[in-house]
Amino acid sequence: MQAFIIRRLIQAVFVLLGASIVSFALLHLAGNPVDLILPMDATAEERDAMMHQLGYDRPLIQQYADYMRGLVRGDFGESVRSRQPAMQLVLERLPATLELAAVAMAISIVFAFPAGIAAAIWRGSIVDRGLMVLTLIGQSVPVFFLGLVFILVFGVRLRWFPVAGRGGLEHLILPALSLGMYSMARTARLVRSGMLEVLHSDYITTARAKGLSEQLVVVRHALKNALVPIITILGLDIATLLGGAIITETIFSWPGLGQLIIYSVSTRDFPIVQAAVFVIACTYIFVNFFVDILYAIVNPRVRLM
Amino acid sequence: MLEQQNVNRRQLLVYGAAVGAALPMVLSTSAPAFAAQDGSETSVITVGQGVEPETLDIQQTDVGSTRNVAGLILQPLVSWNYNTGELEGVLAERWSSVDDLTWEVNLRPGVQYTNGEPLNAEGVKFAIERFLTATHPFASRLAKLELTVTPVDETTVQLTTNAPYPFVMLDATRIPIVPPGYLGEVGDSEFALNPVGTGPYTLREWIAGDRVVLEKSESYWGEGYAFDEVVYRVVPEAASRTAALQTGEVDAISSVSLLDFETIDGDPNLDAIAVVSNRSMFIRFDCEDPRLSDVRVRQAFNHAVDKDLLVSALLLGNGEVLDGQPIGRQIVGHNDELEAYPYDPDLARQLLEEAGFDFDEPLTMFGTVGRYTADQDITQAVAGMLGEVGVQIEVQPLEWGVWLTRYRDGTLTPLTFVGIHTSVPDAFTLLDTHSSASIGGKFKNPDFDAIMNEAASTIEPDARIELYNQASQLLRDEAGLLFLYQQYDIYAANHEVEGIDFRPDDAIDLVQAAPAS
Repeated sequence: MQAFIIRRLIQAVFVLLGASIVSFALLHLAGNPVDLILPMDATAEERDAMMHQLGYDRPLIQQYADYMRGLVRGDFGESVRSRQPAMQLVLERLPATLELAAVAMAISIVFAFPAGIAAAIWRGSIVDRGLMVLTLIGQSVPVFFLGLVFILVFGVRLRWFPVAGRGGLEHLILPALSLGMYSMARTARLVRSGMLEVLHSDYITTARAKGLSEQLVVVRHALKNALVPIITILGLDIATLLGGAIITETIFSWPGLGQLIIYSVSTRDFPIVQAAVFVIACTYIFVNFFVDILYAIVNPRVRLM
Repeated sequence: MLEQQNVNRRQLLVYGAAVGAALPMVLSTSAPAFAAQDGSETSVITVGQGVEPETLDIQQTDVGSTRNVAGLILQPLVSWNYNTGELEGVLAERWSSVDDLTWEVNLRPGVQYTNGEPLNAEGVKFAIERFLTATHPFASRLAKLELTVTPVDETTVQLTTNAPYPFVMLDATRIPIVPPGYLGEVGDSEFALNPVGTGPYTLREWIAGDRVVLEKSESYWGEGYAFDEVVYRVVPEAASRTAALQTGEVDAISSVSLLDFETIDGDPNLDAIAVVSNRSMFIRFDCEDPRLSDVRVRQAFNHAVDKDLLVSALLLGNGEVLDGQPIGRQIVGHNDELEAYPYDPDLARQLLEEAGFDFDEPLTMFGTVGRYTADQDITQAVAGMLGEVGVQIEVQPLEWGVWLTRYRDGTLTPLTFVGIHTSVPDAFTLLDTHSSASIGGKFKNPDFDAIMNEAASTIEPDARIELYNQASQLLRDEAGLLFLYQQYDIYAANHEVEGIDFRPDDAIDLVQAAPAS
């Protein structure tokens, strides 16, 4: 276990290094923030002066080296536009994203597991077919379309929920539902296929032959074994949700990381984007690590090495 | 086994239906913040904008949505009244030109910042000198003119430049006067988050990415501003802004999508308001490109494009065709004598043939993606209309940041679709962008350059306007641009509020705004 954690930590350093190089290079290839700050009629002289003031006239390698030096000290620099510490701006938005991702994931799990189990148990029935059609729709409909439909139906027409911003529980439902829909549909299908496979295995037949109740057979024996591949997918889903549900946050005016990233990319606010990429990369590393441990708990045959 | 399954399935369906029915009821009763705004005694106006302020220190930025928020806290010496077409005093009571280089400004007596600091000449000197080193787009040009501020007495200052510069007072409309004592105390970073000024409102809270809440200042020196609270909400998506207006979550919104215009117009509780903007749209010719250097070719392009159709079909009427000049009618310096090139494709073909235009070689036209209203549709339509007279156009839409970098590098040639905006209501910026010294200037006409050079230092307004008229006449005769239209900015508001003034310079003025009577 100890060796596993040490190896993972070393890997994490390389992953973070890779993410920082890729994001740094891509951002700098895409232009510079100065052109977007200056008015259109600014002179070449004014442009040069601001490039120099912000340090964008230095060689790219030197800029990256300075960035890495800051990073080692935990300093991600200041936002080019607001002049506030970039990491502080990113961390300010994180709670909103965590809240949305957690509720989206909760909704996904709460609906997906019963639906998947029901579809597997009553395979071929109207319940199964109905649920599979719904999951197909859930996986196929783009999130921006679903979000707008939710806003128009449940916000504008029925007035059940507010359509913009963060506040109480009522603000969370529509964005979380539209964000969690894809994950919900995919998980339901995975649970169904996993359960179908397991329900036909010999040990389930044995369990039934022993006279165990159907509930015990399904939950204790079948579901636990069907969980292994689902955990991996759920882990990746969590990381994706935390990585900034850019479209959902934009449509529902949710003040999270995704909204900040999209604005910062469009304004070429490099320090914010780099800080956000760092946080997202850390999230992926942590979630993957956590999933591996969970894997071993659920399936004792898996050894952490 | 079968029986057990049937029972479970039924139970499942009943349970599901019950949860489905109960959930909205539970949630709708737990939503007082969403529904109960009207019942409170505090009068609140909520405005939805697409972009959050990056800072509340508007000495550092000129972004309209930021100015709308922080402009209620920080005030300039003077402001432009678009209804009267004149400057009016804000913190300045009077101002006059002493000579070509000097303006004298008398401050309004008895004004205090909301932290109790008095407004005085020394404070104004501090504020303007701080502005000169700020990242505001006007700062560098005023710094280059070595603008100096000299206090004459407690409430009088003199503003001096090192060369005649006609726009000192117009530029002053964009210089917020910040309190020296408070800034010294808290520093620039804190000031950007929590500014103090002389304005009608003070900051109550700023929730990043969500809202800025302002409350009425008890000590405000002026009149107007009936609302106790002003809330600016960030609603990035245009369709969501419209939805938030429909549900009453916000009272007014900016940047309404053309797609939503009819929805709002058809709602009896809402009004869509189209405001002619200070932005002129045109296609910039690279006049030094051999294929476009003949004036007849450029004139032909102007005749080939049906500008009325662009405005009526693609902007749904939300624009005004430019009358042969890149200057809107509300701008000082508009030339009333000029007319648009009439749509005449036959004449266009004839002019192109006379000029020996090479119809086989396609021309590239650069456009933007989502920067201007219907920008991609407009560039495609213009390319199609030019195609009708035999000119082959390849449209290259670019993301705004990439477009800007290439614009400054001078590589958007030979044609690019562009909008030029002036923050102050004077034609200078709209014309000077075509002079050779300007970063995007592709007209390359020495006579035009000479006229604009002279205008840049002509203080006397009538003489300057005469020079503008000469310049715009030359630009029209030489077909220096493919003149298109002025776009309207579309706002919308519900009937709970009245008196909001949506201005051509992206500003939302709340001085007369009040709850509907």
